Amino acid sequence: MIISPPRLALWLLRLALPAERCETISGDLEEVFRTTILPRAGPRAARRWFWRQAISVAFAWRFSRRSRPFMTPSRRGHSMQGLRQDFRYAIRSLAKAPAFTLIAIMTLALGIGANSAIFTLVNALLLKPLPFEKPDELMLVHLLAPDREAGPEALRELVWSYPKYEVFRARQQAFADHAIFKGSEWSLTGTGEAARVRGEVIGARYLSTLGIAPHIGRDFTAAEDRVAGGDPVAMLGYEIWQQRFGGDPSVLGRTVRLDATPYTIVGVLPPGFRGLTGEAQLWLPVSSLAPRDLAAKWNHWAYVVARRGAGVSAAQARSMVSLLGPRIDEEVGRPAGKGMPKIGATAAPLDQARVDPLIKRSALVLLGAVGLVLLIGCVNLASLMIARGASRQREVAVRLAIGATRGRLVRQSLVESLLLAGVGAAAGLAIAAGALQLAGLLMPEAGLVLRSRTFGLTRVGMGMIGVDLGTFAFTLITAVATALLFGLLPAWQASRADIVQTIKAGGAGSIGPGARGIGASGRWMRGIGARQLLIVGETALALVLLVASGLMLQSVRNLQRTELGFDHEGLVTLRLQLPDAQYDAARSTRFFTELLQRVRTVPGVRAAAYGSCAPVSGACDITSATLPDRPDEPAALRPLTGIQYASPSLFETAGMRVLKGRAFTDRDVDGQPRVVMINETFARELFPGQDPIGKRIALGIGGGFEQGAEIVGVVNDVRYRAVETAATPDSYVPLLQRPRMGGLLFVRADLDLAAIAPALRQEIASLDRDLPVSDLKTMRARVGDATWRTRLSADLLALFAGLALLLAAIGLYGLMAQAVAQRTREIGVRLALGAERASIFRLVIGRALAIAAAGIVIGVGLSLFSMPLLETLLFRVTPGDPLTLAVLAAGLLAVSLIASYVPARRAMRVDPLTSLRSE
Amino acid sequence: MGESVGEFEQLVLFAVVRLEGEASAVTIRQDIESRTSRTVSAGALYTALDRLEARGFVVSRLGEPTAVRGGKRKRLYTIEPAGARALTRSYDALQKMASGLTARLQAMLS
Repeated sequence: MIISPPRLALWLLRLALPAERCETISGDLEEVFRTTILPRAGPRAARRWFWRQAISVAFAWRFSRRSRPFMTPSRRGHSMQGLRQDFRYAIRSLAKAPAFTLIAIMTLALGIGANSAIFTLVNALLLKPLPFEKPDELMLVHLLAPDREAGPEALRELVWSYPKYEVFRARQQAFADHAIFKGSEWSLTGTGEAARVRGEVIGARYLSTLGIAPHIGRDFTAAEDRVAGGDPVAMLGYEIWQQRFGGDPSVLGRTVRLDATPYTIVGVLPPGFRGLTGEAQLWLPVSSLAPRDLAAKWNHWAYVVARRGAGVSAAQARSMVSLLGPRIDEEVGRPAGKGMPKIGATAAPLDQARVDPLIKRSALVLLGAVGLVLLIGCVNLASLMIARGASRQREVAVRLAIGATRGRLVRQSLVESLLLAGVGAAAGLAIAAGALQLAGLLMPEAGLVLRSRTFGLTRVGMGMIGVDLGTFAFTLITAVATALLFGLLPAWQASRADIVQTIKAGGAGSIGPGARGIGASGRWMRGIGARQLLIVGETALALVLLVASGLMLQSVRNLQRTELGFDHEGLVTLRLQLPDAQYDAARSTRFFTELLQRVRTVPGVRAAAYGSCAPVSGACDITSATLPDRPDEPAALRPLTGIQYASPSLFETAGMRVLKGRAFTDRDVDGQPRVVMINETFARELFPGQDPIGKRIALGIGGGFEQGAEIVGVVNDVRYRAVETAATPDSYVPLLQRPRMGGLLFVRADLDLAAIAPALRQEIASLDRDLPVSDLKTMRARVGDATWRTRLSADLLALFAGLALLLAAIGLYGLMAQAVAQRTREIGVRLALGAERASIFRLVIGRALAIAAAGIVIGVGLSLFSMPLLETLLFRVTPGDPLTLAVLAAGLLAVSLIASYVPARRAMRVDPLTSLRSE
Repeated sequence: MGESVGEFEQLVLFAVVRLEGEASAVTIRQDIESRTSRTVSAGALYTALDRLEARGFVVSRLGEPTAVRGGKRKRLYTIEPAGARALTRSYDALQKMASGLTARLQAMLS
């Protein structure tokens, strides 16, 4: 591919230089670009270099042909003084036009403020380097396995089993350091109130791989990496150390009880460190795991984080890792006779894994949207400045006549823009800080867990994001860019005044070239041609934002209308996890049965049930199923099903419908024939056109179900994975036949969460004082959590689109009002000559609509071009949805009509006598 | 009293003299940058050359177009007698003022 210099930069040179210079100068730049810069610096840097040269030449040629390349002290002093003069002059002239100044500053403050706020979010989520030593060397290493749900060729990332990790450890050569880790959760007792605490189980090299050292105490040792038994040890997070131990250094050597097992504290980690899962407060070594978990070859639970060795690139590391797949299969082997799929391996930079790609996309779309709003604001200001420049043309002409250089006038006009942008940016920064704080208050941390699907690195509460140095730098750059954007064109125009013409013409309100008199209606808008184009442009941009927000709002509506398969109003859920050490299967069954009975007696409670997985949360167990009545299929073709463990009352409590057969009863207990319920989708998939009731199915969950169970009922589909994702096959298994240590309590109550929570906690404590309650939430809040991303982007986009619409309407109104004001005399003459008032009205409205229509046509094109960017964020609406486009285009046209109505009426009511006499 | 030239213009003129027939903006820039190890802004160089030409210190002619330049011609500069005079005068003045002082300046720097 031939890389040529940026065409836009060449165009800039053509614009700025006289033709005979342009050829040789751009030739020079192209020569150096091709022969020197490109081979040395690569295409991106070379194009940047070319731009810098072009801008330097264009500016020097246009503005400072008298300036010298190296500033001498005396000259700098001189120019500083000139600059100070310019500033004083700008302040005076802005103070003389308070309405203009106020509008300009408000527009800028809103535009820049919105940009700074969104940038701060993007910066915190996506740009800031991860808080580890040389973070770009860190990678996550994953296994790859075929993804049967996604398609025959699809692969999905898979975490590691310990034996597979051991092969990786022995064979890999790409990484200098690596460690396994996994998120976990324990009941912390013995230090104040019992609580569920999240933490990580980590390999001994975990902290050193990340480049983190303990705050006090020591890291885990290599011996604690594997050998089970010995003294159980733990490291504490800084926060928990402060809260539970008052920051006492003598905590080292003391014990904490996790799930009733005592652990000796050996270290405390530095403040703010929450591990790679982003929410850890406690760390245990691998030796804390049961030996059978470590020996299990196909029990995949461990993430691997690794630091690349010296001189190994990310791509090299990935290809080196990919060679390990066959070795792992070879050394670990595959499950016997199951025809298990081949394993591969891959590695990706840690930085890529830190935010859910959809959140990334939303954040960037929002950044683009606020950028457009600011651009529209700039267009409005440029238009205002041109109008202002036109009304000051006489003053400019006089200054030119008495010896001011055009460069100086341009500079002065730019200083005025800079001053406006500076004040606007300062106010904008305040707005951004306020908006972020407000967001922090409105959205407490719990509602804003930015967790990626596979791996949760960034648990970021809005409250943690605030204005910082990056925001300052961004705001400063935005302010300068804004000033150039809205100030350059007007400055250029203003300095072009024709001295003789303007001074001779005399009239204060007349515009230079357009002041030549009254023409036919076609030339009606002469002299404000540039402004007309600006308004066309901003109308187009406003339509783009409107369409984006329209599509997002439709997605939100579609999400809200989605049938989830259960009734989430008035449903409260909480999670319980019984400690293995104290409960066996029989005891846990007794516990849950008794708990449900007690909860049902709480006033306000209408029903209570026990399940294993919350709808729309996407964290349910999956297993493969076989049909004993049919010939066995190879493992890779066996149907997959989600597994829900349910108490008999779950279906009634959650508002699900039993479509065929029956629900579980209290008689479906251990010792009775195994029974299973399946959802509609699974019934359709397994038994198309047949009655599934009475058929047998075997599920790979142990407890006798692998021998086969009878299907006794079919229940409606429930969206367990996400609101957006249609239900997949699910099977329900009676808890009474297959007891579990943990799960989710569902309570349907007439009271709200705050009223019912204390009673629920009390009932649980009366059965087991040390059992912590976690994840206590209404189902409504869970659905909210599952859709907040779309709702938030939609709301913000709607806000920005509204701003854009308002700005575009103001822009059009301003243009038409000024056109009418300047043409008062012409209109007067026309009326005096017998023109009808209605035709004057039509003339103004027609002009405005023509401008709006041109903008809309361009805007439709831009929308069709840019909306595919939104595709992954949309739900059940296509990016090019014709109805959305048509409705919003019509709406924009209607708003344009309203914006031009007032000027048009004013034009219609011009009194010919007054207007003629006033001249 | 004849005309004189400023510091940057002196650098440009010296480069034009050294490069003889080969002095284009590209080679002049390379020459100054490699000898003085300071960066020359493209805008400053072109405006300086334009100014020197306007004052009759250099003349330029157009060279042949080449592919590497995107088919564009190059402008080659040669010095004029007036330029040589102005350069000599300015540089002489500088040398005369500097004569005998470099050692003292060095002493102040070390």
